[in-house]
Amino acid sequence: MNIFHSILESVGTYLPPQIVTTREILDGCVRPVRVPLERLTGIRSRHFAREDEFAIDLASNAITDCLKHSRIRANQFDLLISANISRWDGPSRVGYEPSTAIALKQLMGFDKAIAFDISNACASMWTAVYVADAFIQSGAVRSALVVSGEYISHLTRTAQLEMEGYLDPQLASLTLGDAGVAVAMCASPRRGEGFTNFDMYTLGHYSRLCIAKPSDQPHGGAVMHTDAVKVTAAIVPHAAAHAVHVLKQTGQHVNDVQHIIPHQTSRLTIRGAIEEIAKQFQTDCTDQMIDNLELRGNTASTTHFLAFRDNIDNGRIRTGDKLLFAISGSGQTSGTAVYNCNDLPDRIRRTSENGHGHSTNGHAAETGSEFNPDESVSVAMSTPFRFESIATAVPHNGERADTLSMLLQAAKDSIALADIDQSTIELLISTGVYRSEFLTEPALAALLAGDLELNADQAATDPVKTFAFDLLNGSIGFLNACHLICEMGRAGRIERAMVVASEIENNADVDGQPTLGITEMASAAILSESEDGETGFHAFRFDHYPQFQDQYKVFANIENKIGKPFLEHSIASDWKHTLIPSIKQSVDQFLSDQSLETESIDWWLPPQTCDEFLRCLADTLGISQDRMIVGKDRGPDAFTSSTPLAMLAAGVFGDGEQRNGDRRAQPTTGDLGLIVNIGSGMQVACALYRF
Amino acid sequence: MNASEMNAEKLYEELVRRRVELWCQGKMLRFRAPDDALDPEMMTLLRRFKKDLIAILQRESEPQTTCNRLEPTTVGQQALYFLHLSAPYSPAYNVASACRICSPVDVSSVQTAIELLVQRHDSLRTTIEMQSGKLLRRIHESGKTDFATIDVAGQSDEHIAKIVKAEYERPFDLETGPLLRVRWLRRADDDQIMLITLHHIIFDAWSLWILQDELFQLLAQVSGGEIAKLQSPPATFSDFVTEQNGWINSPEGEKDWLYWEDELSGTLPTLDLATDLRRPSRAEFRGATLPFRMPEELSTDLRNLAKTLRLTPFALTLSVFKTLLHRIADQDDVIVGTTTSGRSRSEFNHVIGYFVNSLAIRSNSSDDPLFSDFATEVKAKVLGAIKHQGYPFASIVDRIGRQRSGSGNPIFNVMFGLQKPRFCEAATLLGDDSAEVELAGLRVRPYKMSQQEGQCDLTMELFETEHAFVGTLKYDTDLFTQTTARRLSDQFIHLCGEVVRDPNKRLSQYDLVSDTQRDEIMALSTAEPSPTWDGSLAHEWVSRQASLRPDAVAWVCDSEQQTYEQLDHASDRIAGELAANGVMPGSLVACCFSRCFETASIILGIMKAGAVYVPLDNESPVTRIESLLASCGARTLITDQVELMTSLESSDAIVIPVSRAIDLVSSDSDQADTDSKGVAPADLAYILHTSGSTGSAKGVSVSHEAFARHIVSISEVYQLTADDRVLQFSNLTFDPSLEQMFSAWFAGAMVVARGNELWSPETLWGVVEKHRLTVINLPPAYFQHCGGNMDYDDDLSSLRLMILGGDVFPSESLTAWRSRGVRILNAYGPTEAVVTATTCEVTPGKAVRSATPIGRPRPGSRAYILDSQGRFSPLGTVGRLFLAGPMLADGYYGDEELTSKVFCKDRFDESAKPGVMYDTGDRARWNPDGQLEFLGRVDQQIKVDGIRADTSEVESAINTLPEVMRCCVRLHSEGTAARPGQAELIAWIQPAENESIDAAAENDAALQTRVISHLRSVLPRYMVPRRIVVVESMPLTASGKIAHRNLPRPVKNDRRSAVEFVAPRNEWQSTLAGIWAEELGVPSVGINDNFFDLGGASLTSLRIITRANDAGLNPSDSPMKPELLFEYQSIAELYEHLGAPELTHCSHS
Repeated sequence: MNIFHSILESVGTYLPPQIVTTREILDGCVRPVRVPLERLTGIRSRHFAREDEFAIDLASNAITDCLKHSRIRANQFDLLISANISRWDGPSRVGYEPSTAIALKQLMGFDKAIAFDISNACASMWTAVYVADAFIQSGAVRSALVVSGEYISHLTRTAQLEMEGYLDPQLASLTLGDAGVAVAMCASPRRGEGFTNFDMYTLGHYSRLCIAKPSDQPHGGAVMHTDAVKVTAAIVPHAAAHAVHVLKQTGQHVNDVQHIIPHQTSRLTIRGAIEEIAKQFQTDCTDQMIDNLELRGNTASTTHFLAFRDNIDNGRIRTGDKLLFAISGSGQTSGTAVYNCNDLPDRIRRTSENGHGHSTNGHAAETGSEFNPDESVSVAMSTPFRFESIATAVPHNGERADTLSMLLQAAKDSIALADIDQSTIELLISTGVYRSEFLTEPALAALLAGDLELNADQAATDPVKTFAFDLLNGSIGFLNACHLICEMGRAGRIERAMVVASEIENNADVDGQPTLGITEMASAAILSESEDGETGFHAFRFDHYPQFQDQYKVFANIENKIGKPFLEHSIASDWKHTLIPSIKQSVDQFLSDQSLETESIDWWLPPQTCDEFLRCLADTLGISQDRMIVGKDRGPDAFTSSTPLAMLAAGVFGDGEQRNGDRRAQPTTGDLGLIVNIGSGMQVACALYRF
Repeated sequence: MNASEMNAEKLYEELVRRRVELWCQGKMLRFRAPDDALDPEMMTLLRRFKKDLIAILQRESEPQTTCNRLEPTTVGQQALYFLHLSAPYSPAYNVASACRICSPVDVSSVQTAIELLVQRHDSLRTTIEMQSGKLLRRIHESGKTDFATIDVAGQSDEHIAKIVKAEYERPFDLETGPLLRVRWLRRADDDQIMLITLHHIIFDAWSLWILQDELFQLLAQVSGGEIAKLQSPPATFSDFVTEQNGWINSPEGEKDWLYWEDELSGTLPTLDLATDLRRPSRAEFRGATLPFRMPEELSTDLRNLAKTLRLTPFALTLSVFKTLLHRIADQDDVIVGTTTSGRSRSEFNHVIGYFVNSLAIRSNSSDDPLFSDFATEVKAKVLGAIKHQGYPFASIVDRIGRQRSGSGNPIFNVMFGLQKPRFCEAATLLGDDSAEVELAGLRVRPYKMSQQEGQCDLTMELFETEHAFVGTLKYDTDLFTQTTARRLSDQFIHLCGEVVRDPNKRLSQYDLVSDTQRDEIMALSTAEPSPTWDGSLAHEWVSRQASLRPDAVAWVCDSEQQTYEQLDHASDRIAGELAANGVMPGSLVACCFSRCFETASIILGIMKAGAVYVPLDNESPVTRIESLLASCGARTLITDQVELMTSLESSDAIVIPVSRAIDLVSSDSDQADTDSKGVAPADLAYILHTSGSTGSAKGVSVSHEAFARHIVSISEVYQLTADDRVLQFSNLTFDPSLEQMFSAWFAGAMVVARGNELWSPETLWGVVEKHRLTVINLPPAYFQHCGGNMDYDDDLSSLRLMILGGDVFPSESLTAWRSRGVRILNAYGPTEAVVTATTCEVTPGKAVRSATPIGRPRPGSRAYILDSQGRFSPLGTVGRLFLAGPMLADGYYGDEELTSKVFCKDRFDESAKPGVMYDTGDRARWNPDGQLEFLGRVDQQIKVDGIRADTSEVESAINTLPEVMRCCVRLHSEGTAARPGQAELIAWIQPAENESIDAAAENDAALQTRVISHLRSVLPRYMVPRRIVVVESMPLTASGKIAHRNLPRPVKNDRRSAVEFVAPRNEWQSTLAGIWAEELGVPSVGINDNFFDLGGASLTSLRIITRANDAGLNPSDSPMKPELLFEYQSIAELYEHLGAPELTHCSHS
């Protein structure tokens, strides 16, 4: 099958049943807020989750709806990305491990999907769709499901308690609503449909304009502080300019698109953007604008797809229509997607006409050809990505570990080591799970991009840009990011990227709460497309052993009962050992996939953790410990920095050459290394790296 | 291969050698490789040189675009491009050829052969693009080949056919190309299907022969390991383009044009074939092909006849085809298109490209020539056309269109061709897939696939094979059913036989109906026998029921009711009273009174007295009633009209006031049985007056036998029983009123009469509910009014049969009724044929040409459709409807002359005592389902733009709109009788209830716009009314039909008129209007004028857009495209769409 573009094969939504009006929201504020909020924002009401509904419930309901209209069954999906900003999975409980995607994978039966979370503020969903699009285009996966269960009404409740007046930075929290969306994606064999233009990037310069984190007030919960004026001033003209740029670049006129769907924040903002676009094309495109604020409010990462589906249901968006999605989110992420509708609108409406509620899960076949997960597709040629430089950072002596300062140092060092022009870094991914202040928005990567001044304030038309976001999947996240970078490269999107990781012990200064036992450190690695076609990553494998999933759970308690938020966890003490047979199973399978024998592997790069575990692992795998590369400063568990640390120990430095400073034997050029990592879920990740 | 010496260029060459396909998509390098072509070493190299390979690929595609030639297109290609734009996803212009190859073939040899072909022929490397309004061919230096193999091993034939169809139908992107696609479906080593699909814009039928020939030659050479050696084509398509474009502007070209201008002068006829389905607003180019074979003997005879008449077989068969069209369309002036190879020089015979040219062959048969003379004339036309074929048809269409704006019709919609088949075409045509030929050492068989060829309404192609003519009839499936296509090809073969038998008959003398078809027609024409009539007469039935069920209710009117016994007695008393007043058997008793409780007794009483019932309209002026009385000679009158009584006081007429009848009916004195046995079946039962086209009323006289037989027959159709309760709705002066009463009484059922006023919908449904009515018969217009005003709380569950008839049939609104389980009949019947002559069971959902068929004749009767010569019209062909059988009127009372004119001997009745048939004067035909289809009055056919139109079609289309309660469409002429003006189609519309509350002019205007835009979307342009008049309520006649005469005349230059002139409002608009006016050849163009209404067509649009771009009318440096005119058909719409552009003077000083 020829792949042209990826399409939205299905879209599902879930709106919790409770409807709350703007009037009620304002009336519920402890201190009166005299602002004509409904008139300014156009929001009359929004949906709030029930008391027993949380992010994961919104997500799973949206997935159910999505599968109802999909030809693909849950167990046929190759990729599952969860993209809600806040992972509130219980009252004042924010999930950290395992990732939401892993939880959903088990819950909804996505048996063979690679799963991870992406977090990038309001652009999370689009970031995940962009990633899925690259995976599909490269031919790495046939189908992907991207979901976001956005439970954020708790921010409204905190704002109602805390707001001082209408100039309060939490005003925007009064516009929020809850919703779940899920989109199924696959490749289209037909020219012309799907995402014909798709571009996203980050302007880190504006990353601190909107920040969400736990409240410091006794009532606990989370807050979102937005500098609304600056956001509007900086972002609206930029987003519009980018939409215009994308259209003009491909010879399209705004009137060629039937619908424009901007991020649904407030009517004033939307109008502003539309007027900018209209001005550029000297036309009026008010009629094309889709705005569903009135009954939905700002549902953060889900707004575009909620509006998309709403307008399919009401008959406005039809098969064959061209849509322009204007993407924006804190960080500051900007982007434009031009999408030509496939038969989805017809299909959805037909299903609705045929009676509600009858699930056609994976069986919506009467409307077209069945999805064949085994059909061969033409894939794109891949070039390995190799580590160009790696640097780590640890807390300064005596200082409390701070995520961003560690990250900044590691990133700066890695850039210096690689001796590259930093503006050539097109992608920046942060995979750190535990961060200072339990920050949830914006993405750490965006803050870092801003601090590094990494193409942080480019004009919309500037071809040099950087896209930054967080990828979260426990300690496996780093390898997920490497995999993602390779596929992005294969899809022709990037040639150089940076992955960073940093972990702190959030409970280090909380009395009576145990720490997790991970090493407080940060790392940064620069990956570039290999010049010889051989050095670098060649293959990845991600396995999930859900039978052990309950052995490892971490969430943040932000009730503020003890005056600050802290982590609660239930981690089986011997979980790593329990997993060893599974590791062996994964490794054997991986080697067999790659037509390799255990003997073909020159070097093993295991999880950088305690000696005893490594000994058992070597025994089980039947390998000599001499062949295992272990970094000496790994602490109790290098966690997300495990792979960078192992690579450093293997002698991979800034110049990409090996150095024989270490007394032990080290890989030489052409040697084959197998990276193994384990993480919550439980997951085992393997990667093949040619030195 | 030494990896260290490898560089990107070498690698690329190696990959090409290994048949690895590489291409870029954005910055992605994609590849497809045969098995084993890529070993790990190659993969590493590929990875290593990925960037370089991308660069090479991009370099390869770049210089191509610069060294690719851009050349002009032919006008034919431009016209085709325009058609393509109108339906870019339609496969209508995909040309395909498929064959089965039953020998093992090396697929790579096939691919190589195809690649060599592509390299040989420019056209196969051509794409089409628009550049600043000019349509150009881009000829690529090295062409891409879209070749793919599909493994279909183990797949069923059906599945393979599906794949073939899907591959054939996949649309081409003219701009990106390639416009040639080859699919190799492999089922087994010796069972493979090769499907070649091309876009017509670079290809034609002749090209297909070249392609097939050369492909197999090349294949033989390639697979034989030889170096492919075919002579280069002696010319290129570009040579042809240059030559043709030069010719158009040359003096010789001008001479050709003059020939065509003369040939196509005057009003161009549109062949008006009765289609099975309503013509869609925009042709969808959906078609099907029906193969047929002519008997060998007939084929030989035709060849011999051609020699005798000194004709080519083409001229002869074309003449037969034309004769058929003349006859079945009943048109003298007929144009049939045919194609020529368009290869004006022999050098082009080996060139692939879109050369084909159409020729219009026009013929006139108004003087009803002998066939031999007609054929000679056709031959001369063919020769003339061939002589002047150098002038491309597309240019002719363009110039003719410009000369005569406003028509917008194609020059012909039917084509004919005759050729010698190549390859295994003939076998393919006949579906004989076992025929095998050997090509290049391969065993090749035809592979049958259905191609979509509905570019014309009909295309007949004959192929002259060794033994016989075989043919195909391609038909537009949006217009014709397969049954009709089959009939047409049968008729053609039959007519060929007739012509061979005697070529010296006049065209009108050939009988188009073959013996087989005659039997079929007879079977359709004759209804099943009626139940036996026991000889009893209508008025005797009430007495019979009175003795069987004396207390059963027979008649309900207002709040009163009569049992059968009461009715029987009361009518006896009326009969006695009449006798007492000197009424004798056979006397005419006129009735002129409002319907009342006594009505039933009076009518029965008249019949029992042996007198003739003559109802007169009590709403008519006194003078008219007097003149009717005088003309029929009725001397007795029962009336409640004081004025009439006064007026008749001085005459010798016997006037019985209704008040007397009231006394008699209410009296309980028993009148002795009147002797109604004196009434004979042949005696007259009633005389009804109908208004004829002359305007004076005719009295239709109906005998007791005819009436009784009708009631017996129709009661069977309605399945009436004593349990039924029947509504008597019709006005008493219309014969359904008699059917409504007597059919019920025949069955012993109850009749419920309506009041004198036309009931409101609430009253109607209220009555149905109150009396639990089971059968109602309503005029459609009234039904539609009431149907839309139904309270769904009404319990109408008793209703089992609804009879509608006599007007435009509202089929759209009936679905709901059908779902309630109500049986619906469409009834048709002129008074002369005694009430209901034909009925049709209405089944929902089927789109038909006219609203609804009128069905089959009632049991015991017949219906014929005859041509102007009194012969059977062929099935499906429109003719005049005749009704026959024992249920006909005697004739027109006292008018022998008129009677003998329309009632004549039934020539088709082969019984010993042949009956009579009645000429209804209505046009009808047998539809493919074997139902009669009513097509309007012979004398009231309307023609719009020279095309016959049926206003009922337009009405049905308007009636589908929820905003419209009812409507009426008529052809209206502003002029006087002496100087008739341009007739225009006008629609009068009564908005639905909720729409008219605010009958403000603005609402009307909005409604008009909605109606017009709706009609534009569903009807052919010529059938869209020019004006819409919104009326508050539609004038209705007493019987509930629309009173056409009382419709308000449209105000001329009414601002609501759909085509009001609005002058351009700014420089941009006036510049564009100026260009339109010049190109369309009209004096002035308003900004709301419709491009197509002004005669706009393909080439005009190209020219207009080119000129508009040149004049700087395009907004901000992006040129306008011609397809804009499809969507934005007026200057105002275009202006708005383009965002109120301003004139830029940069390019136009």
